[in-house]
Amino acid sequence: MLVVTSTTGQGDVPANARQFWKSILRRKLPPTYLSNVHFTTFGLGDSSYPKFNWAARKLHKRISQLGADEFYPRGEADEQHDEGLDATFVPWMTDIRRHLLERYPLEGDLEPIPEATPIEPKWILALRNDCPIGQGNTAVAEDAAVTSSNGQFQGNPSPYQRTNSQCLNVVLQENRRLTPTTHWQDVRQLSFTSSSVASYGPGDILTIFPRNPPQDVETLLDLMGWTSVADQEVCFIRNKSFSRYSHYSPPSVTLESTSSPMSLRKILTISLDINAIPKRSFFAMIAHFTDDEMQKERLLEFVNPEYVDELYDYTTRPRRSILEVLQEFDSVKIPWQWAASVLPELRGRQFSIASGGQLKTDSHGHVCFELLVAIVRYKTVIKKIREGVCTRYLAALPEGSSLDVTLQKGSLGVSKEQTSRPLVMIGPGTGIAPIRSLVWERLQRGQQTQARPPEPSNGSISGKIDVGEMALFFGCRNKDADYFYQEEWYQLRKELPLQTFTAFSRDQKHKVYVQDVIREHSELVSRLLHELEGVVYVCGSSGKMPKAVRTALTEAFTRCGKMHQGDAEAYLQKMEKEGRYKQETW
Amino acid sequence: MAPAVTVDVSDSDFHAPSTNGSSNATAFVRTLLLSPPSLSSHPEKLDQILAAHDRNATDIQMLDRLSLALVTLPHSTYDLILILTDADNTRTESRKLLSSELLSRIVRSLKPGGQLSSQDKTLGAIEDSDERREAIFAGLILQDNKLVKPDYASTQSVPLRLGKKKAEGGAAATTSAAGTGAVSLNLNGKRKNGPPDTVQPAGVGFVDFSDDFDAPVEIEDDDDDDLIDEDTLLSDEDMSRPIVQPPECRPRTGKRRRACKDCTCGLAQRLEAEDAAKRQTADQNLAKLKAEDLAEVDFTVQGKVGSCGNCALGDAFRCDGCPYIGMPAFKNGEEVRLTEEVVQL
Repeated sequence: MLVVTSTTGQGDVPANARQFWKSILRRKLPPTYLSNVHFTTFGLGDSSYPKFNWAARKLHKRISQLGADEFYPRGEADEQHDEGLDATFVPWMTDIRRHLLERYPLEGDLEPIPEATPIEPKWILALRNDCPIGQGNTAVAEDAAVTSSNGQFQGNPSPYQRTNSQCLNVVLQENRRLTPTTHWQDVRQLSFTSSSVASYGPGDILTIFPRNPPQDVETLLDLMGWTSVADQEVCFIRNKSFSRYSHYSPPSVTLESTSSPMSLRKILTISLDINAIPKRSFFAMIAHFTDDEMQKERLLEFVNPEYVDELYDYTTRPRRSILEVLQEFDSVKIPWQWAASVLPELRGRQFSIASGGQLKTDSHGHVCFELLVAIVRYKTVIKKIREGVCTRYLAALPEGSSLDVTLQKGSLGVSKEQTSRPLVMIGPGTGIAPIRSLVWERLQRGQQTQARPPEPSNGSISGKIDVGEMALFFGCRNKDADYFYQEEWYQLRKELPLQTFTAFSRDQKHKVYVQDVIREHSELVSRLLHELEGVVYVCGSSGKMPKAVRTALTEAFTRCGKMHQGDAEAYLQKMEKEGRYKQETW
Repeated sequence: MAPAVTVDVSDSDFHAPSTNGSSNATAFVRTLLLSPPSLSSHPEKLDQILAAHDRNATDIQMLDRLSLALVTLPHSTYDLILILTDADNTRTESRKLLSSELLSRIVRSLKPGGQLSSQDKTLGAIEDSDERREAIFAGLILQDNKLVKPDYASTQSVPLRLGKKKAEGGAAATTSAAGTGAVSLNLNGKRKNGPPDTVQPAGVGFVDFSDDFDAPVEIEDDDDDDLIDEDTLLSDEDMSRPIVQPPECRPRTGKRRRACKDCTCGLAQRLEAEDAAKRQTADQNLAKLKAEDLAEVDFTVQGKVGSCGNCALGDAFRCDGCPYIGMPAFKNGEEVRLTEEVVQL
């Protein structure tokens, strides 16, 4: 058993592994439950997070505890490595294959499948008209004609319908640019309403499913020679070789519960990421679909782990898209029946919800969601400007549009009981979104549970709601350009025990960041977190910022909390363990 | 004690010959000699001991290099691992180096049924000694007064089917990692050791796992309260353990330095500036083309083409200094018309 897993949230096992994880955490399982199992694990992680690869480590430990035998040392990859995850994964995978062949030699005259053989997909697309009754299956759940031999499988279970997430239809009410047009970055406030019943809290997430621009889809159809089948109704059928494996479900190609027929064009528009950066495996696949020796050779070079640098320079560094690669390697003709297996899935993009408290309901009593979205546009060495797949879609989305989204529980774990806890909230840039939600939420809870004190009494700040003290640290480039919700903080400071501290990095000659401002207020930070045992939230971009913030907090404890540096670091770790250090970065 | 079947592991670190590991099994004793540092200055003693073993089946490693993890051992390879005595015929050095960490690594590289011993036969010989205790903690057992790695494959298994309701009654409901030893719960009566029998569809490496495990224990909804706390799984040591590195690095051919994602040393800025400069130069070249109002891109004209002649083929084939970098591929003789942003072909 080989387990490959990433880590999510606060050192948690990924959503689609939760059911499995729960099942092996059961206390009643004996320590010999997996004693005939040989296993190992490989973790995909990011060392800028404090709980680097915790999910893989926990899984490994638990599986070991249940008696399985580790037949090969486990491996871990780090996104922050020079060459990313491949740097560790490729040598690990290569060696484990060698090891497996030696330890479990193939019987008789079996040979390993040669590298050049394409592995066929389990499910392929076919024209609806060509499907014998009962064999085809659209991804739309209503098709009851398909059942497997054990009668279980009906239609397509959406991977998004897991615990903790809810599908909703929303209408875009507002799509407003917050930054001045003179500013280089376009940041929007998007407001959605829904007539469904939904509730959410700070840190919760809305997942938006982008659509590809019609002209890109047209370009691809034309390039691959798929135009003639583009608008005909299609469905998924099982690949003949796999008829016995009836319990595998087809690719989840559409989230929509529409009854309109599924066509190749639709699939390319809403379900397949034709503008994604191709991975190594993509090059391996498409090498099978060309007869041009020179192009094929070059494609296979990109697959070769020896040339991982070249692959990086060609794809990741300039952010080249699949569509652009196919335009260059124009001899490649992917069979349309395999489109859903060759092209990667168009995933929804997650956004931390920026609304909270009374902002969660509009004047009609409908549930409201506000998002703070920075539109992604930048230049690389490629002449054509780069755009984010989802933000490009959102930027052009007209008000009044209706779309299907999902609402998911976040990992900040803000509970009602904590309203009196002091908070240190650090949210530079768009990281302010979940924090804004938190503050509005706290305002509402405070208003609901306590009457406002009629006059100032000793120890409470005059006229303000009696909730835990809050210190907000916000950073951005220019006060006049991207100081989001400036007017709101002004109002909120009057009603809540809230202090705000800002760092405008480009408003003066030398750079000032949130971590610098945290240092300036070490005493306050140390009092709120150490003395009063408050909670700290770090939200925003991953990488440098959370690390720098962590260092600043350590320094604050050392300086004002009367601790040595080692103790300060240990104190931070203790806070993490207790759930008083929450990080939501992207 | 030495197993009858063998699989000879051919490893890049070692020079053991490889044999066909299937039906014609030969009794073949793979040995590892672990040499304390003092022996390196006494090659004659090393030669002496080596002479007593089959050259082709014996590997030798330095104990101190092993303890510093400068060398890794292959898994489940050796029938016999021998700790050599020091140059002064004592075991002072090896005793110092044989930590529990090192012992577990050594045990891992023993084959099931393999033996660990020392040249002077003192390893773990004294009852109740620390050494013997450490060896047992590392996973070895005493068999005929020798320290041996247990071979679970050949033990008799009592098939206890792990049925739905019997789970509570039969097994110890503890999470302790210590194995119960004697009774191994054979989860599938017909399963034998080694890779599962499969009927592979022709040409496809797809394996049917449905007969590997017993009937799955049903997940009842009221099981929520009886899960172990996952936060207790990792000890402080586990959490702070550094990133596990692969044993050997692959060869790097022409590796260029790339900046970290959150680069603080300035390399990222430099590379970004490089890319921007490349884009600028390329834009200038395109402007030149526009200025001369070409109906056709003529590759015979000097300066319009890079030195390799692959410009038309796209970025995948262009060399480093290509003036057409960042532009899509184009065909010879096609019109090159330029708009504000994007080159139209």
